[in-house]
Amino acid sequence: MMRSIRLLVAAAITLAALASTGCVAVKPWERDLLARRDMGFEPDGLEAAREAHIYWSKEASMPGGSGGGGGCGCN
Amino acid sequence: MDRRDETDERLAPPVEDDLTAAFPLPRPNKTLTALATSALALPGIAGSARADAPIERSSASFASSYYREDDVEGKRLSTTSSTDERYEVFAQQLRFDIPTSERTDIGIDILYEEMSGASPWFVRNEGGRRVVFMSGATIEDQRTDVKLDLDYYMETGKDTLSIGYSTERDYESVSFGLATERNFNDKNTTVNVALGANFDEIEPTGGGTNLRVVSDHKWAVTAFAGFSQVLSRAAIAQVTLNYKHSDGFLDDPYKQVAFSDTSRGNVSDARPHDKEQVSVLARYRHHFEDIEGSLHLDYQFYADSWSVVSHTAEVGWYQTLWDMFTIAPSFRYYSQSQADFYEPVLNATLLAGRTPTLRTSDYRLSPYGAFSGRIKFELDLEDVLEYEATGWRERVGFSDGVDLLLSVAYERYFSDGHLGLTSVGEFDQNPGLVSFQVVSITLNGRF
Amino acid sequence: MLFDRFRFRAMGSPCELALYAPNREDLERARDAACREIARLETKYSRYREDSLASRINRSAGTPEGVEVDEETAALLDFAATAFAESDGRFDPTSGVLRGIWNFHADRVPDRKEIDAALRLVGWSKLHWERPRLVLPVAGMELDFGGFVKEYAADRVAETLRQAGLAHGLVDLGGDMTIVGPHPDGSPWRIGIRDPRAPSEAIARIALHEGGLATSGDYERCMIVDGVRYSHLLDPRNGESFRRGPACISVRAPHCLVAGVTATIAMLHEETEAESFLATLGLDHLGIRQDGRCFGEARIVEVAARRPRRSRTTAIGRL
Repeated sequence: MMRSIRLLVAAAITLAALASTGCVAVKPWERDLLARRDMGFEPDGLEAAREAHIYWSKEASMPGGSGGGGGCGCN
Repeated sequence: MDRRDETDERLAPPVEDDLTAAFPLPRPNKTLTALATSALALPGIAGSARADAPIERSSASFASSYYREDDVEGKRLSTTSSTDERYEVFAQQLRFDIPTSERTDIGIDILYEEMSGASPWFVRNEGGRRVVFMSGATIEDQRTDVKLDLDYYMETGKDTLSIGYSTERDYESVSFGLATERNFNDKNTTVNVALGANFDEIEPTGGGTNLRVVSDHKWAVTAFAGFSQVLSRAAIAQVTLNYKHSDGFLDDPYKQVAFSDTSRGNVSDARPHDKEQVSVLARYRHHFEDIEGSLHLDYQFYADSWSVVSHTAEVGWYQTLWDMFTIAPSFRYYSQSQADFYEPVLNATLLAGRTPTLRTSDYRLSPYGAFSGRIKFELDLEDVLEYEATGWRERVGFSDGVDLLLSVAYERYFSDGHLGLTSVGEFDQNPGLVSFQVVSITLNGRF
Repeated sequence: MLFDRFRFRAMGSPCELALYAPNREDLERARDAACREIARLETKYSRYREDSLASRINRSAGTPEGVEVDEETAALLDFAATAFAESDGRFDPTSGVLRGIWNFHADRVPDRKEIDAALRLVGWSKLHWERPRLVLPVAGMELDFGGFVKEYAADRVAETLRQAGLAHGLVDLGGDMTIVGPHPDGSPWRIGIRDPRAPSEAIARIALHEGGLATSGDYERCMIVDGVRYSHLLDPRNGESFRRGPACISVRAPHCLVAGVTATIAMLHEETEAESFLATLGLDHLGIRQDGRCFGEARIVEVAARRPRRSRTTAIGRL
């Protein structure tokens, strides 16, 4: 367990370092594509919440990607 | 980059601010640098670090969905089980986003769902096979979930406070969350951090199912850290780490475990009283401008202190057609290993009269893999303000000042022991693995 | 959120402010501040007004002491000096004298002698500019802020509106545009670029969230003499009408001022050179060649032919 946490932290730090050095700076006025709805990490909030809830109650894993969230009797 | 300019690069004053200066950005052209720098020397046009704009229009979304699990296959069902029908859920979701001031807005999420049907109670051996015995009576329940988000926006990000409450006949949950988001590097980098806690109370009822608890509770804390980075004008990636610690009553009071020797009767589901869960999720979005399509790639690794390890991979494509239609197919693959105390049927011979302190026959803690496919259609009736220099502009869409988004989606989910990444023996595979389908319709309006 | 737009004439062009504000009061307060700013700049830099700073500078031509200028004007002159140097003389605010001999209403091409005489009064390198003193050493020399003050004004007005608390809007001063901020939902302003061949059609659209956009074209004024088309684009280096450039160029930059001057300079390059000049510069741009074909950074534009839009919008004003 501790091993996998350490592994995750190391992976995240590496990724963060890679991302911040290799990046190009996209100027605010060049964000027209990134601002598209279909470029969102969760383009449809209600759908994301529903999907996360279904997978969470039918699988062992917890959904990632957003902080917090309440419980229910389904798991 | 013009090679001839190399000698002058030293002389060109950098236009980037302190943060971006730390990164090796492509150097701007000398002529442009000269023009931009002297333009910036002009009074009053420097502009423009503004607040991360809060939403300034109200929006309301309504979604209605129907979830239905497949009936249990005949060969996997106990011949004495009274039903082969499983769960179905009708859910209605409502969400409002309302700006309350220049820097704040409120989000309200309301969910109401009606569940009915039967669920796996325990697994037993019948005719040399593992079969599932369904809970006798049809369970009928309703769940109401309300969540409130308060957002505060500032120049460099936003803070969010959330409170949630969920209730059903036998269950009650209260949750709190604090989240913060900060932008760096000219908003090319975003960092999110969130902390949450929830307190749940369970009062199992019904069914004459030999419930061993009257009432119990559990609590959990969650921590979340996300990092997203703009990679190019058309690509963005995010990595998030999630951690959850749960403590208290984590058993499933509606499940039992049978012995291979039926004369020993069944015992209740029993799990550890705490659980650590950790996951890392990586997401990538890429827009292909020529064909107006966006690629979504998600991967999640998950591990917990009950020895479950899972991998989830998802790929999706959002194709825009004629500006107002989107068709979005996506595929998801999921594979998990079993919890270390999972045993579909306890081996009475090996146990020689003992009962293991931890045991479960829950299919959700069994080893398996799952495939699901989803297709979504969207119709986007959005106002497009066409500004033609000093000329005319037309508002297009549903009506002036109102945008409507209608979407319909269908999902099919199959799970099976043999779909997992590691092979599963016939006697470890749970006969209660679920397959389901979901249809949903969503209407979103912005005013 | 309230949306309104205001049309007016200023700096010799039709102008428009398209603004969003939380309420009517804020909207009008911001609009009034913007109008005051436009009026201030027009009064200060118009060469048609006797009392303007521009006229005072031009009247001082030939005097050894010249004029002492304020901080804002000094910054504009520094900018002009930079643009002159970076464009190898293509951008030259002293070239206004040439307009006196190129009369596009008379359909007459000036002869070499007239041009040479006018050229004696043209040339940024002839004037002495040392903060805060500007000296036009030859009587008859003129300084014309018209080539860049409208672009500067667009940037100033956008900033004025931001200072007044607005976060969403567009400033258009005769086709020189600066974005105050995107539409309230974050979507960009879509700006149509008119087809120089078919002025009622949009040949492309540019989506802008922020920054400035300026367009320079050879179709605004021209004359045809003996079958030769002379555009109003005059080359300050030789006093001739420049005929070998592209038909029109739109440039997007963080500031309209930079976009406008870049477009002007690019128009005084031959077609292929204009393309490489803009490509080297690294600013988003869309150019239209004399044969009607587009060039440039296709990524910033939605070329009209590529996507049938549900909008029927075709009417485009002058750019």
